[in-house]
Amino acid sequence: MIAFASAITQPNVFDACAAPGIRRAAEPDSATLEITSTGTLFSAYNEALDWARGLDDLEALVLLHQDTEVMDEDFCAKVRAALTDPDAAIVGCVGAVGVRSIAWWESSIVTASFVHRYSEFDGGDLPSMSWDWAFAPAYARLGEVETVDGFLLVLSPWAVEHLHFDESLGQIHGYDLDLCLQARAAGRKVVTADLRAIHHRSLELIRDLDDWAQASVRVTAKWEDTFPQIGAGTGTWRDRALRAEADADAAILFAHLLERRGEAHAGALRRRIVRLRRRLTPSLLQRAGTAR
Amino acid sequence: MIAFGTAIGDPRAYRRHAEPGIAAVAEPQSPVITFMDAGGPGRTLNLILDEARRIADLEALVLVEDHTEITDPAFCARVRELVADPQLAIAGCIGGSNFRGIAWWTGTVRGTPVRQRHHDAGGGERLAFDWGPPPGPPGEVEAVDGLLLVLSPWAVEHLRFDESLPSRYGVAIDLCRRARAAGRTVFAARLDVLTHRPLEPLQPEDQPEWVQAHIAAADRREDAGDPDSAAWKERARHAEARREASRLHYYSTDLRYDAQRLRMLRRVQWLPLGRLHSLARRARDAARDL
Repeated sequence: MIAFASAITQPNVFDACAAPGIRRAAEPDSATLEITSTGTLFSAYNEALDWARGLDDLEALVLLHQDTEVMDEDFCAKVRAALTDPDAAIVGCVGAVGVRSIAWWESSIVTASFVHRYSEFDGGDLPSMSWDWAFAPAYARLGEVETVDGFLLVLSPWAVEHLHFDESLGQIHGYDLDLCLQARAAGRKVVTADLRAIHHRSLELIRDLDDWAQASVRVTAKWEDTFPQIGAGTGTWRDRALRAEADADAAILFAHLLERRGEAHAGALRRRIVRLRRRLTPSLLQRAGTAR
Repeated sequence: MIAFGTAIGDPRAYRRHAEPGIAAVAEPQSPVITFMDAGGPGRTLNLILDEARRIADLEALVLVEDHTEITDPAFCARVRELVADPQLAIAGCIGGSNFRGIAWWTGTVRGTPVRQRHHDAGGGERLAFDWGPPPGPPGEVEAVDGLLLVLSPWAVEHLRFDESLPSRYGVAIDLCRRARAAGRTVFAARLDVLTHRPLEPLQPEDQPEWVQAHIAAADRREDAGDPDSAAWKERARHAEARREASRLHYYSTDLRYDAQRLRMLRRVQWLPLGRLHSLARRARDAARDL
């Protein structure tokens, strides 16, 4: 039996996104758990693990963000196929290799079968690289990775039994890499499968930079001795500190400058429209006058 | 006598912006010293310092970037007030304290809100340095931005720009550091200017140069010690995490920018047709009613 669980802080978001996906993917015997989350995502997911450990005949536990909509009707068949490898502990639809921190997107992404659907600016879809395999780049593939993204996690019965979400790491960030590292440290595999999902989320990818950075530091400190590539870099610590400080300042500055560009383009467009309107209106009225 | 100087990297910008500003505020006897780029900003600015040292009765040397237009009618009077303080070495429009590297706007900012008139992206005017906090009242700072520097006779006599710095970024900050190391003060003052830099004065391709400048500034400011010490490791870990978070923030902004453009394109696709159609229909109806 494949079970589904989601941590809910905004019921309307869950009803609009995760719930239809679960209905689409679940089988008649699937168990579902909706956790009304008041604590951290880590604690809510631990609650889900405790719940799943009590289920009979569990084949997999699917952990979904409340804004994740599974699109596959044959989702459970894909999950079973991915878990035929007895070493596979965690399955995701986005995965990367060469991962050095919780910022897995700064490494080499090999699978990303999801759409980022946003509602700002009249809404839109941002399909990721292997959403449509016909257009996927040559390096896109399914299989073993170092980490998967946490918005859709499938855990094997072994993972449900042996892993836990480390609540000392923070509130919301870094749990996915930490869980994957736990599995890999135990000799298990993290893999990607062609699980297709829509992630209904804002274009604002990060709200609190400090909170995120602290989680990243904690995850790195936890795993740097076990996995030498975690936190790896070149140069002395001094070189790395100074380079990273400069890069961070530059990134913030560039973000601001990009906002400026957006404002300027919007302003220029508005001015053009006003000019066009001024030019068109008298000319058409004149034509109407001529017709008269 | 107040002298003016510009290291000209962009002759057209100087003609359009710096020169008219200087002409508007300079006194009849004010010398204007200009040099083309002599192979690095430090070297060119030092040529101006050399020339200024030869001026008898120098009250102050005002170094104006070629994109900076002085707009303050009382400029020379304000400069005289500033250099009346014998401790003052350098004054500028805006600057900061308690910052790392060369990003002075990440610290405590003081001085004059600087306006920026950009001629690209449809043109417009806005506050420069609005990526930092609004400046507090004029006051002493660790460094001022190099868009305009007022140097006292002491500074002209005793300071030199560091020609070994790898980039134009940070040259002024380094000069301020030297002045303070000699026990003099740096002041962010009320001096009105308009900068005519593009909307995005720094491009992503400038980032390697920026990083080099940051490291060079840190080399001069901070105790090197053991570069692999535990303290440096901790700082590196936090800085790298902060960098990834900042990049994520940048990606968000990039996505928002693209989404905004997409919406504009959608609207533009519809708007002219819709408006034309509506106006044509109104005109036709008006004609028919007659």
